[in-house]
Amino acid sequence: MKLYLFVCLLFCFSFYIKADAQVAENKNLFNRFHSINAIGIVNGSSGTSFMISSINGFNFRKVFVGAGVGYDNYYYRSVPFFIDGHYDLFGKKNKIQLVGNAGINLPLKSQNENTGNAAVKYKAGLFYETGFDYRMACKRHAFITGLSYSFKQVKKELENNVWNPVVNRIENLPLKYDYHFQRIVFRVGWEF
Amino acid sequence: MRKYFSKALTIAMIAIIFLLQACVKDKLTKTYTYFEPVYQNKAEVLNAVKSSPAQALQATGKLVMYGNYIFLNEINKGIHVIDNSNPADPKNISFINIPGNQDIAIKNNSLYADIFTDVLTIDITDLDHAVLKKVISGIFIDRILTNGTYDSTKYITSWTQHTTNSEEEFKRLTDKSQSLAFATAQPASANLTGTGGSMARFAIVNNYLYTVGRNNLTSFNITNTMDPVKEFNQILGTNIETIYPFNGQLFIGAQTGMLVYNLNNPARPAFQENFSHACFNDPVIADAHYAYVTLRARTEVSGCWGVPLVQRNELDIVDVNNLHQAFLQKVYPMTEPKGLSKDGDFLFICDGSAGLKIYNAANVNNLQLIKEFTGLNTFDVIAQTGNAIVVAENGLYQYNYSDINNIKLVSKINISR
Repeated sequence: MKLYLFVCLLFCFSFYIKADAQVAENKNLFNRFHSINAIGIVNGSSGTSFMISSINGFNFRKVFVGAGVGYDNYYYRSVPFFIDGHYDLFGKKNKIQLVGNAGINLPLKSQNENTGNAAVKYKAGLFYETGFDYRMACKRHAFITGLSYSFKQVKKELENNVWNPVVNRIENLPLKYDYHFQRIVFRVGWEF
Repeated sequence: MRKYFSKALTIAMIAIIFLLQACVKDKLTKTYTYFEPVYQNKAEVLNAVKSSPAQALQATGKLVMYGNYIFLNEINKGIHVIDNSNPADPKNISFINIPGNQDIAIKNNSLYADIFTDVLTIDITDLDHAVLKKVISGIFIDRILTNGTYDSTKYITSWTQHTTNSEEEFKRLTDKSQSLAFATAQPASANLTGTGGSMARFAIVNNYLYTVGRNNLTSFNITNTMDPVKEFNQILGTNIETIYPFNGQLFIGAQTGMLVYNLNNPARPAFQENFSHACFNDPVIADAHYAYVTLRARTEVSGCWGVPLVQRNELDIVDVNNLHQAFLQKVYPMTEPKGLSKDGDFLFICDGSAGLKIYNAANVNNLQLIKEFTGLNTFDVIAQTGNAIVVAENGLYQYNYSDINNIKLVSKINISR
């Protein structure tokens, strides 16, 4: 619940920053600030789900660099934190951009998973995406659609109490799971 | 035009994600541990059962006091023989190699020891030259560990631990039914019978040796101590852990309670009472009026029969004046209680990582803590004639309690690892 709140706050914060930037239009750096907020359909071999993300950063000519946070509901619910980059490939007003980001994926502590009585720990893994965005300018803002390949990793340790005949006692020899989720994401968003 | 382009692009993108879905696959890598048994012919293993020069202790197991000697089991390896003529200076004098050994009992120079599924009789008249006298096979059926097939001509003498990755269902070659076992054997009345602690699976009463497996009780006639004869085997239930004989009865500690069997017919112990509780580990000792049961909820186990454990670590004192109407007299909270021993009014409790606790138990409704020794992880204790021998994770400790107000550590044999 705290994480949901955190993500919501980040979204709100990005709007606030942008509003602040518009007030201070004369200042170049703030003028370059952009916030890209998107929702995406995530499709992979384990099913279809959704993710939302907020990327906030600065534009320098053809390059946009920012930091992002999201909520990824695919298989294991997680919150990725990442560094994001956009590069304008074609177009002036409406642009096709090469998009890439990379960071860490933090799974939520509780998941919709029945592990019986066994304790389970979810651990952070990698997160990255690469793809293309189509950015359609709309006055000062822009509508974004994009398609990308998305990778997220979730590591899981499941308590596994078994008799260890080497030391002759029951020990927790955890089962370790390393999930590599490879997805295609279709994203729509709004850039402020 | 732009509008059409963006719509077309959007539709194309949605189409592409479904087309590309076939190209991306989620992957799962499982890392797990399994144990591979190492088999050895029984004949070879039994040939190796003999005395050898003293070896440094590498782990502690069950112990039996026999005269001036301590027989300390090192689980799955054998038995250290310690000359304890001077408790302040115990001497490790020899080692009896017994692979797969967990429990021992001794009477009249006959040492009874388990070796995987079987029971051995070893003549220890000459401690430097222990001689294997007899093998009784197939006693501990719950310790038959197989890899799908059981070969009665072989023992599993060791295990190799492997950690591997797989994207398949994992397989484990373990026997979950094997229970924890740090135990010792309990004394009988005869002077020439070894004395053990509360966590025993072997017990000697007069001319009978009793052993408990995970779910069975077996009696052996040891009138001729060098030639025990299996007399009767009965199923008790599951999760049997310890056996403690007292006053013509066998107090059997199970994860589900305390069972009492009478020895009116010593060849065939008969069920008398069951004092139930939840699923815990519970060594039992008894005196004429009370049974003392330590309940330990193992934190590493989720529970028996899949039922989650409620954390209960305590000493239960059960009034057994009338065995047919035994009732819980008093409960004392503990940290991680394991073995216990009683000498007169003094109650010694191994409280695991909380160390050794010594109580005055003259009034069971108001145990008075006399002394506690912390900083050692204790398993089991034998207290008699002013000397308490304590098996701990890091060694064998001896405390002199001749003066109960001045209990002193007199010696320690360290584990070398």
